[in-house]
Amino acid sequence: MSQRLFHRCSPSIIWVKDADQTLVVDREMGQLWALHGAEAVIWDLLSVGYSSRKIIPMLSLVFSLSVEEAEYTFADVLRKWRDANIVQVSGEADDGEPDSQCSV
Amino acid sequence: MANLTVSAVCNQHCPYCFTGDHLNGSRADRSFLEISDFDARLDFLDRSGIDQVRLLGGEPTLHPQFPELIKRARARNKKIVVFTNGLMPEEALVCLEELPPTECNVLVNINEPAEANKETFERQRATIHRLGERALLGFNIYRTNFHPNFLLSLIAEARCRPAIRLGMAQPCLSGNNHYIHPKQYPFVGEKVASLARTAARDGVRLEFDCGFVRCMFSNEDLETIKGLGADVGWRCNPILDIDIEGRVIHCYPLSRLGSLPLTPQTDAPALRNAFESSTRPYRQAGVFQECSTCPFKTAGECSGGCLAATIRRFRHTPFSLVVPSQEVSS
Repeated sequence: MSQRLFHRCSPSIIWVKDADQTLVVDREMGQLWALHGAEAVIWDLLSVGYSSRKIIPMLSLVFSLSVEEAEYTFADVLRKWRDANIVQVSGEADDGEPDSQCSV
Repeated sequence: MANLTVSAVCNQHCPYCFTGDHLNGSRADRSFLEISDFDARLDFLDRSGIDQVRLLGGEPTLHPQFPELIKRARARNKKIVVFTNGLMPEEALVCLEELPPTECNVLVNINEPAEANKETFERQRATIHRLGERALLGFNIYRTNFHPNFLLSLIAEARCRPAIRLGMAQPCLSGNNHYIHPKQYPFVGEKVASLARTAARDGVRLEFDCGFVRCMFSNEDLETIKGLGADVGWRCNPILDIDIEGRVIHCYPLSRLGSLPLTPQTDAPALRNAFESSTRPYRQAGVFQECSTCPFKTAGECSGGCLAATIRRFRHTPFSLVVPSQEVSS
């Protein structure tokens, strides 16, 4: 049985969607990231509560990628955001844990 | 430039007032700046190389020792700038009347007569008459159906400075005041251009406070406004408002963003640098979705509007996500 990691948006992160990019700011660290392309799409989908099971097919569709390529892209973006502390891993998820939560 | 708050008390309740976030959080037992603290503020201005004392409130003229504040500032050869609603005690007015017009600029912010009772407006009018050329009329736009033409006859009859300082009400970060939403800017821009044309016929020019943006005017209106000698600027900088407790803030609308202490060593350039640094990430954005890629903003010709209005566009979305570990590590 594979391990499932629980990720959440860091509490100090705020963001705004602009015409050509999504701007993400860490209020505490004073850092800014401008998200474009797949990153911006993934952020959009996460912010409206999509799960990874739904995001990967959407990426595949939007960017004409194979499912494997979409999975790789998604994992790559998530790794980059973890390294930047935009998202935090807060442990393993319980079996009954929902796949995605959002309280916009 | 730095504004010294000397009074947390005001005798008006303007719906657009942007000091609420800050002054409402001040200690209730301390409404006015102590004289000794005022001297410390003057020391700050001296070491910052600032030759103006800009007095702010609340209503600054309500300070019980207002004439003493003016006397101390003048003793250091400071020019006096007062931001007032014109409803000032007699001794404050007398003290300002005695100053040479070249050394004193009283910005009288005045609302439309229809919004005030007759007595209030007549008191403001009398103050403006007595201040004469020391007075510069200010008008804050906080709704789209504004009618500022009454200012032109007031300027003519009181012989005050032939200019109107226009402010466009901006939100506090809490949003607890009335303000112009960026979607309303183009409509406001049209009316301001119309005012500029009417004012020019009376020899009155417009001056713009911070927060206006270039794209709220059509190219044609912008050319007209500039051609009429208006002081057009698309600014949003750390003003440095210093409250009665010695905290320095970027400006009142952004007071919730945090403050810096005024110490005997700090000077205005250092404080300004600190605020510019802390607000830099937000300045990539602007009040509109298009600001971050606008060529005028990129070229530094437009600030992208008020930073408080910009920051209010940002939000936190507490999303969470469960991902199988092989997806994470693939």
